[in-house]
Amino acid sequence: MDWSDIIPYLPDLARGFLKSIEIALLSAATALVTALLLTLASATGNAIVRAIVAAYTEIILGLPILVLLYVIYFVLPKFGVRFDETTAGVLTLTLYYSPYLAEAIRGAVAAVPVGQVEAARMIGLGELSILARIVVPQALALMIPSATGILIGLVKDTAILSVISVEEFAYVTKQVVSHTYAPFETWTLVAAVYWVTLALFETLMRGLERRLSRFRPKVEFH
Amino acid sequence: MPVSAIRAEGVSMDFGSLRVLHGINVDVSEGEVVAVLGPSGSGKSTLLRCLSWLTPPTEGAVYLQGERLGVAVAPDGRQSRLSAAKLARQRSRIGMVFQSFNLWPHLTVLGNITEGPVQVLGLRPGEARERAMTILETVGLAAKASAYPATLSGGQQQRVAIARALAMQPELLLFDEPTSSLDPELVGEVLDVIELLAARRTTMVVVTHEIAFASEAATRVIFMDGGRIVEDTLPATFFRDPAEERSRRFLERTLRRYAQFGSHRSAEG
Repeated sequence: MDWSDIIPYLPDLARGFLKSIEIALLSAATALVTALLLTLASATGNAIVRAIVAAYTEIILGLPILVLLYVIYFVLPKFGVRFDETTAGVLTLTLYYSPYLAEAIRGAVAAVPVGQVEAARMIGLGELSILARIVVPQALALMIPSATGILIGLVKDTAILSVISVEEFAYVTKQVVSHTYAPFETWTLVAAVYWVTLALFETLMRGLERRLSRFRPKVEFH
Repeated sequence: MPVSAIRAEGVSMDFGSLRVLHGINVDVSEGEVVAVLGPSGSGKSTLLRCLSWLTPPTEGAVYLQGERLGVAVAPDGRQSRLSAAKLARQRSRIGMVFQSFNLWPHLTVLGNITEGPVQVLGLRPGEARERAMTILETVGLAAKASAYPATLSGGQQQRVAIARALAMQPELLLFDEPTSSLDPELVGEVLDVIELLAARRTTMVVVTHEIAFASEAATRVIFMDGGRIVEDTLPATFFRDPAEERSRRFLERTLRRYAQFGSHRSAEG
């Protein structure tokens, strides 16, 4: 075992890592916005809009992410819709994860008791104020645990984009291994970096949840 | 002539094919304390929700100080739904206290009480805090201003909910079974606050099961059964000599329970 072989490739690995982070952040942002739009769309009374959202959700939930990626990258160009690798990757992650995030948002909003909204109405708050000042602050704290799990899945799935040659962390690692012939050391290092990154993210989100729900007494078991 | 604080005209409410209110007419004048009594399912709470327009009635009209609630009436008589902003403004003039308190758990006691005055009435935060503290003194909870609702007892939470409604300086207060979800030993402290408001001639409609409160603090008793007002009279008349057979039976049942278990009021109340 010789770790020194991979030292010259550390800058390449770092670049791949940063690319993965960039894709993950971008996809998480677009997926959250899409999820919010899906939630709002299915909350409106319009039956057609709701049917479209439901159909979209059903289709996405029934596809493996790898297949969705191939459809976007290889099938859509046949219909004249063409994306570069990174865009196809971000689009795939966005489409794939937004229904799950939408469900997390819907569940969190539904968990805010309707009585609190009625109390706000009787105080004379407008519907937008009620959403912004009563519902969202509580829903945010409530959705963090499930959203964290979903977003961790999203971060991990950036590695799948390596199959369409997006130069992210896993892809670069494969390339490095083909030069160094040191798969053990390289993959061990990369696994550790993924793990530490996600552990940090999880800790951060847990802290955020604690901050946002400091008003809620903790359940204690004796 | 007494000024009408809130008036219902021919208010009916259907839930699907079930009619739970049958053409209710009621007029509450300023300064009246109306206790609404009746067995479970008689439509008391639904009437209150219609009066606050949280549940717009299927038929009929509600007038707040003579102003049509929730409905815009054009000069040619055509009716349409009132805009959300105007309805919100009307509701801000009605204080409502719920059975389950419905405090906002992410805000402190002070935050719950100042939210409306700051966001709806446009008070400066300092002013709103001052107003809130004065009201908290009244309900005996000044020491809890910075506490979160989850750390309070049910009785304390309900007193905060009353304070939240009072901070809007509403024209009238609606109470929907304010003590029904409280432990018996906590009922007294909430009734004390409501009785204090009654003594100050605050206009109130109180849906309640507390017979003692109705007979001592109310200026008028409405007895409902089967979605109709069966009796609408003075407390003394209602409790001493109810006109209707249904009221008599209700009173007998309720008083028998009282004799068995005593009033919910705390010992010193």
